[in-house]
Amino acid sequence: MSDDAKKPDLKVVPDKDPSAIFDDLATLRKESKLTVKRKTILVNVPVGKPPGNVHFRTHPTLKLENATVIKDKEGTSDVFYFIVPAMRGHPKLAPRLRWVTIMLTCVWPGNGYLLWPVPEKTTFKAWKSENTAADKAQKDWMQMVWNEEKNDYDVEKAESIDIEPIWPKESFEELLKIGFADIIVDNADHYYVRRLRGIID
Amino acid sequence: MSAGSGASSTNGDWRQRFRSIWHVDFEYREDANHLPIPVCMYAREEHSGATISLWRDELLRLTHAPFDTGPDSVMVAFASNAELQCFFALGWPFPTNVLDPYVENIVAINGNTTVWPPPDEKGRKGRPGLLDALKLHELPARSQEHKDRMRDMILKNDHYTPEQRREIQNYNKEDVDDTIALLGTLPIDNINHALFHGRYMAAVAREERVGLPVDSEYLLDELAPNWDAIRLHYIQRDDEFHLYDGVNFVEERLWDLIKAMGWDWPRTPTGRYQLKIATIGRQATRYPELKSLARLRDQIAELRINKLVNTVGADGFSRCPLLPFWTITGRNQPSARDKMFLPSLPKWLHGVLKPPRGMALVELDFVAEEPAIVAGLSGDPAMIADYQNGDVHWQFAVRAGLAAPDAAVDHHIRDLCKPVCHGMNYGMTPYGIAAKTKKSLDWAREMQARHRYAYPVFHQWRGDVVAQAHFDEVITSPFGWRLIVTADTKTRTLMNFLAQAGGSDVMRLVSIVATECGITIAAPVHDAFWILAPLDELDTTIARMTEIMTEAGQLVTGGLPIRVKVEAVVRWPQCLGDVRKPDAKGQAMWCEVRELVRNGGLQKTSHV
Repeated sequence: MSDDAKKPDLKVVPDKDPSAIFDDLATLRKESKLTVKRKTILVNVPVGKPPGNVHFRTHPTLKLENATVIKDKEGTSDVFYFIVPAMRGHPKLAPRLRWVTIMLTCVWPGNGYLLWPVPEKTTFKAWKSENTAADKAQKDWMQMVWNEEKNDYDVEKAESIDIEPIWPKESFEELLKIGFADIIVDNADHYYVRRLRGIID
Repeated sequence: MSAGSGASSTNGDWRQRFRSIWHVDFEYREDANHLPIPVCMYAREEHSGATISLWRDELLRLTHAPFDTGPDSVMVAFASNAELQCFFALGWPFPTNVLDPYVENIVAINGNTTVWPPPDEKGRKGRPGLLDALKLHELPARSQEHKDRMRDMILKNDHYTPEQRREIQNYNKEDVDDTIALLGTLPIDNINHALFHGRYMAAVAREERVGLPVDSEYLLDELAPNWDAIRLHYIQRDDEFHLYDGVNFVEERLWDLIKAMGWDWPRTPTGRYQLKIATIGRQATRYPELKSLARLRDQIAELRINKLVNTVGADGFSRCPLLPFWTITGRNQPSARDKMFLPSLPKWLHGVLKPPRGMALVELDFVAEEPAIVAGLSGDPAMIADYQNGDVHWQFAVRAGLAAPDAAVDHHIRDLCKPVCHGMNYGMTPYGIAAKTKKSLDWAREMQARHRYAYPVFHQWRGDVVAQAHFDEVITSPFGWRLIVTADTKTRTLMNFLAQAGGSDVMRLVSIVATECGITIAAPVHDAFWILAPLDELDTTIARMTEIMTEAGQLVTGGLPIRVKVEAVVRWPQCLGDVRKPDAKGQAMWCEVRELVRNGGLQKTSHV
């Protein structure tokens, strides 16, 4: 073997105490100071029925019973106006009122939330189906799909979703405020009442 | 060697800290072990202007560097790992302080895509060499042709005429002149971190000098000479679509196949089908009929064994440049134009690793290094608890409701959660998670939501880190590795930066401490180390290295120790292929190839 090819001496440095080296190096660490503090704010809680392509669970206790809403359209979307008790007797609102239980609902997939105005009256069979589905969803993941032929919902239980819903940290009151912001009808001058009366502003 | 703790310095005044600043450059050729043979050295002291120019015979007479290398001095050298290897070759003790303009230039431009890669070479990879750095700072630079000619002259001769000697020494001096000019333009904001980088370059020099020991007899005398026959054997066996002509891949045949099968296939900007090995690998997840082709190309058919053979020295060690600080997160990216780093090759080939006589080769891995770093840095109590309680991916499965807390680990569920946990570090989309796990998009979205719920502190921190980086226009690892943030910086890069750059910090710390306290590191490999130890000191060396790795991890995470696992122990005269478990990745193929080579299966096949 030539001189150039001789084996390297693998012992490259004399032994030293690792802790002394670490003490020296530790002074180089810079604690990261995050001055930015973002706060994510919940700005939108949808109000409505769970769509037909998701499964849902309803919270067993977070609900508002004996509430009144009016279902209307805003463009192509459904809008549920929340009618406060004092306005229930208003002649333009009273015939349109729907008595509901507003239930906090978690949807799968994606763990989204919505406030679902579940009809309390069961005079229509579709309302009865909605009511039953919401009730069963307190324990199981359910799905509700409109069936044209039956003129009713098909209510089905999920085959194998074996995870529990994750509920939001915000209080139910906060969620109601966010969900119904601007659509709480609490006086006769509300734009929705004026619209129903045919008043052009 | 000092980390440079203590005095703080601002740009410029760092010079006052040192009594002497020696700019040093060696010219060298390579020996049969790919180690440098110093040809000459030029050094100039910055304050006094004193110079030293020595030819090889004069260098060999010295027992230490002919300039002050003590704590009050600093040695400046561009890509100093090469210069320090010359110190080794000459038997000189290392300088206490090293400042490397190659690294500090990277620090100055890291992430700034407006300056690097150069606007007229956007496809260029890697880091600026000396000439590039000079151009970047608008300093006069010699031509690349001149540099190439001189390099060839030095490398291709072992005796030089008086004229060549004069030219080489001039060239040597010019390199120092250039380094001095370059350093004058570099903003050394924090000399302590700069010296830390230099100290790491010393560790790299030690690691590059050692290299990975291989069974060179098997590799050079059995495997390499039969390489084409081995490739042909596998091609004949696995090339279901007849895309090869002998050992040559015929691209047109794959184009025809893609068209005939109606496969959706990614194309290059010029409209041609992408035929990279990685592309075929990804396509095989969509079209399983491509799996054997993907495996064939990745594992053997496209491997150029010569690139591995080129790294093996007469002493049986494989040495490949580690290319420190090569990635934006400060990690190494070992490679060279005509060389391949053995750990980057398919696992089956790692079987060739074999310690020298009387030694053991040991692989020590960090366990879930990146999750530990983000858990520690974010301070998320749930994530920290999950790391401390064992397997982070399984712990997440439990938190996500995919498994009962007291259930035994279900590896299928655990493996589904792994890409979710990794992906959430850098903002992987539900599409990415679905593709990785082969689960539905709905499942992926749900898992993302569950991860956010399980680790809210981490998610808040991750968002804050990204926002802070945008405000500061820079993001910095715990040990000072920084990335300049511009409008071009991807959010995902920022999300992942601290996990990767923190990992890089850990590797640097371990390399420094371990090599300085006498542990022989054969190679750092992403989040693992291969070390060599005499057989009679094996247990104590493993214990010491484990302790060093754990402590380094703890330093970076801010208190959370990163666990270390001994992944492999190979004792001479065995090689890794002799001791790997039969179900270890690549082991079956290692055995198969060896059987083919040794039992004549190749000849039969190649004559078919």
